[in-house]
Amino acid sequence: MTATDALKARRTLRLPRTAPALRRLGPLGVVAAALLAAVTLTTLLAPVLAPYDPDRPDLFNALAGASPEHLLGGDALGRDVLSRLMWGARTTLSGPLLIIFLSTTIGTTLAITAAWAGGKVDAVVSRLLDVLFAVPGIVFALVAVAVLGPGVPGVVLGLTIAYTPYVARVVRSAALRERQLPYIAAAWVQGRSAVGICVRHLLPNLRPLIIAQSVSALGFAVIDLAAISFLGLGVQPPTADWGLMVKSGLDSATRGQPLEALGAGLLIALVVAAVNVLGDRIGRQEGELR
Amino acid sequence: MTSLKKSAGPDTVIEAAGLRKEFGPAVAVDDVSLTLERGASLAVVGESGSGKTTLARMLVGLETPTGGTVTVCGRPRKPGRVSSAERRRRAREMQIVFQDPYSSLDKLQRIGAVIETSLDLHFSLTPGERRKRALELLEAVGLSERHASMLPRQLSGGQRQRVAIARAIAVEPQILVLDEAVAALDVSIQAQILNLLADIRERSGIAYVFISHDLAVVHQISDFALVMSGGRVVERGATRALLSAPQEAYTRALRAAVPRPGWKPERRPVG
Amino acid sequence: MTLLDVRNLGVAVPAARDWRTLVDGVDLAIGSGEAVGLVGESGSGKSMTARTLLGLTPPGARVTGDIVFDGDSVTGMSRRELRALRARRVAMVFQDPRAHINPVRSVGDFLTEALIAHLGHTPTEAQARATRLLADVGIPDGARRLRQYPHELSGGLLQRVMIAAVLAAEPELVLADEPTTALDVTTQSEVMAILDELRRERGMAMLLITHDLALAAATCDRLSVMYAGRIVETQESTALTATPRHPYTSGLMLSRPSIDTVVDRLPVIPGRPVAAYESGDGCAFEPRCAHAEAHCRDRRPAVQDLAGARVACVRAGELTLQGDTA
Repeated sequence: MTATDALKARRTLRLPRTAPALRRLGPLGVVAAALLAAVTLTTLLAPVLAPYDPDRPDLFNALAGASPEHLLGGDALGRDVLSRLMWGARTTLSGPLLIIFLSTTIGTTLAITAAWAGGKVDAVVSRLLDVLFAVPGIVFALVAVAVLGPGVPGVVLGLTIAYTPYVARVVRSAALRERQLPYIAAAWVQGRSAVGICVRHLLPNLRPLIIAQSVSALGFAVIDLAAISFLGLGVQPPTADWGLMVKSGLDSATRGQPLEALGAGLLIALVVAAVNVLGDRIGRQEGELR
Repeated sequence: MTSLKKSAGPDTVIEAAGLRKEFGPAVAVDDVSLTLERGASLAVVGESGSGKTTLARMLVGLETPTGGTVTVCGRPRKPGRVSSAERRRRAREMQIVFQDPYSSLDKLQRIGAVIETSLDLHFSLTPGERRKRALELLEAVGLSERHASMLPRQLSGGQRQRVAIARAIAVEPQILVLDEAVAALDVSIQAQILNLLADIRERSGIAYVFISHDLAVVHQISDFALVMSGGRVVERGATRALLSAPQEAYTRALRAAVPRPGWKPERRPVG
Repeated sequence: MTLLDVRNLGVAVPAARDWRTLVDGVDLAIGSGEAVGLVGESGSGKSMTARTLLGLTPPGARVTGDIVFDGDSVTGMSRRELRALRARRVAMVFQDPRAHINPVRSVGDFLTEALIAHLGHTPTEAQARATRLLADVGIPDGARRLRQYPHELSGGLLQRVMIAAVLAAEPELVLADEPTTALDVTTQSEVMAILDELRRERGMAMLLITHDLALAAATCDRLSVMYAGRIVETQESTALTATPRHPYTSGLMLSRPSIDTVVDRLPVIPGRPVAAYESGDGCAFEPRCAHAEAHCRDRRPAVQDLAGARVACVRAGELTLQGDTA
């Protein structure tokens, strides 16, 4: 293929001009974004879309297979699996979102403070991050659960502490690079305050990196929280949650109804994959901007 | 004030004495003293590693001297942390323009906002007045209203350097430090910026500290010059006299190395 | 004898919608042992021209015209033939030596590799030869330098090492792309002196690409000035500096401050330099030219012969332009 042909091919494949952001994501990125949008929409509209009350047992439907009335059958208590998957997305996804929001906020603040102040402050923050790094995230969650008791608050607290150093390390090294640039020195000589420079200059310039970083971390948070719920320490029954459903669904699967575990497991996998693809694409754009 | 030397008259804007800067075991600047009169243009000439840029950064307060004193507009600059009011006062005394026109502007900030942010920090103006003043400043450096809404990447290197100059003079400082400010520009653009700087000095009576490796540029823009090598001043004097009849061997070698009609490159053994 | 003959060279790279012309209609001839300077500002296409001569074009670039080196067409060469050409007959010295030398290998490895691979030296011979080469470029303690790594050497020393590497292959033509721009002025003088001396001794031809007209004039026999992807003027160096024929050449010389005289205001060329694809149908320099007339906008001025000069300006015959007077 000559260069001209390649150029033509690229032109015909081009998406509509109205969607430059989508075009930059590439085909796989668009699929991932669409999937996440669909999951989010379903989650928000669960009260309208779900055919049944997710928590209402129906003994006639217990361990039933797929049927026109119950598209994915029922679980051990006869609750509608499809409705539980729809409602379950709320707990499964809101926990990780909260974890990422908190850890990104704390991590970014720590990182920018350390990078700006340098010297002793930076040394203390860096050592603290090193210590946190040495401990696996799940240990924090388990300790928090031991103190606060099983349930979402303890797990969110534990995983927030575990995720903070990942954000902080990446943002700190980028902030160190950025603050060497002359425009920062110029702002300082202009008499701008340190906080002003960090908020008005550093933060906006680091934003693409921070977003890319938190999207990738979201995928891990979904898995971690689901795993902890699976272990029985996170989301507590009878609340609908994908992690819990994989666990209770395994039991049902041995008794001939695999759809609960399969559905929940597949959704976790799809959401995590989509989040990772999106994180990768955003990260790549960030790379191209540099 | 005891720190004022006798030599410093009321028209002295910078009085630096015995400046020294160490980075670990390395001495970047060693016992450099200089004075700058109101509205004058002083060049600091040197090759890479001569300490000229470190000297400039100490003058504007981006580096803390290991030793020596700097007095600006009659007020000694104490090292260490200072109040934000003091930092803004220092900003109105001295500003700096850097070499690289690409990284001296925030790539996310529109040109108009760059200038307005400066004005906002130092003057209480209504938004209307501020915008009007920003446009005046852009026009003063040869840009126009349409540039105000642009991002740095939409401008050429020369235009960005004009913005950096506008940002610096927006504060109406007494002194402008130009750290290799025309070195990265094309020859035809370099001439435009040198003329612009001459105009600004003529109009406003601002004083320049012009850091450069380029003797021809220094010749055009400065009244006085220091020649630095290895962190020390090796020769100083009125620029024309210094360049037409250099006294020190180093200055002579520097001058001899400048390509000009009839010049032939010379070979020296490596040290 | 003409060593390199470039005819009507054009280079364009694919952009979002169409092609971006970077080099347009460049004619260039270099004789054996001759030094030619290619002078221009950013976007003039001078570096792209030099790279194209060695087949080092960006991916997808479209090259038109003919490049003939010693009777062989470079444009028609396979990758293998191009590699052989670059290894033995045409060498390039770059602006930033650090970007073109492997930082984890010693200077000795770097220098002897080519000697062993391309010239069939034994390692011991190569070692001795490398030491001699370093001596040739003014580095006396070669044996010690060979054991050092690039980061231990200053920019000036590293550029000498690059020149030594170029000499090793004993090429017929050296393409030097801003070889001294990153160096201090005293180091520049030395590096240019070395290049000049060795070039003369060995009868190598050189194409010096630079933004510095004074430097090119002092070190080259003949100069070509590029603007917006085209050569606007070619003359013998001394003639070009004394009597430039193109308004751009004259403007470029006059706008550069002088170390000997101070002018009240530098005579400037207004506007900024443009790339070939940014220029209109007429003379690319017309918008910035003090001598422009309406008909300058009509079409690209053809290159004409004028008292030993080749000039692309329709008004060249009627203008008397100021050169470097000193």
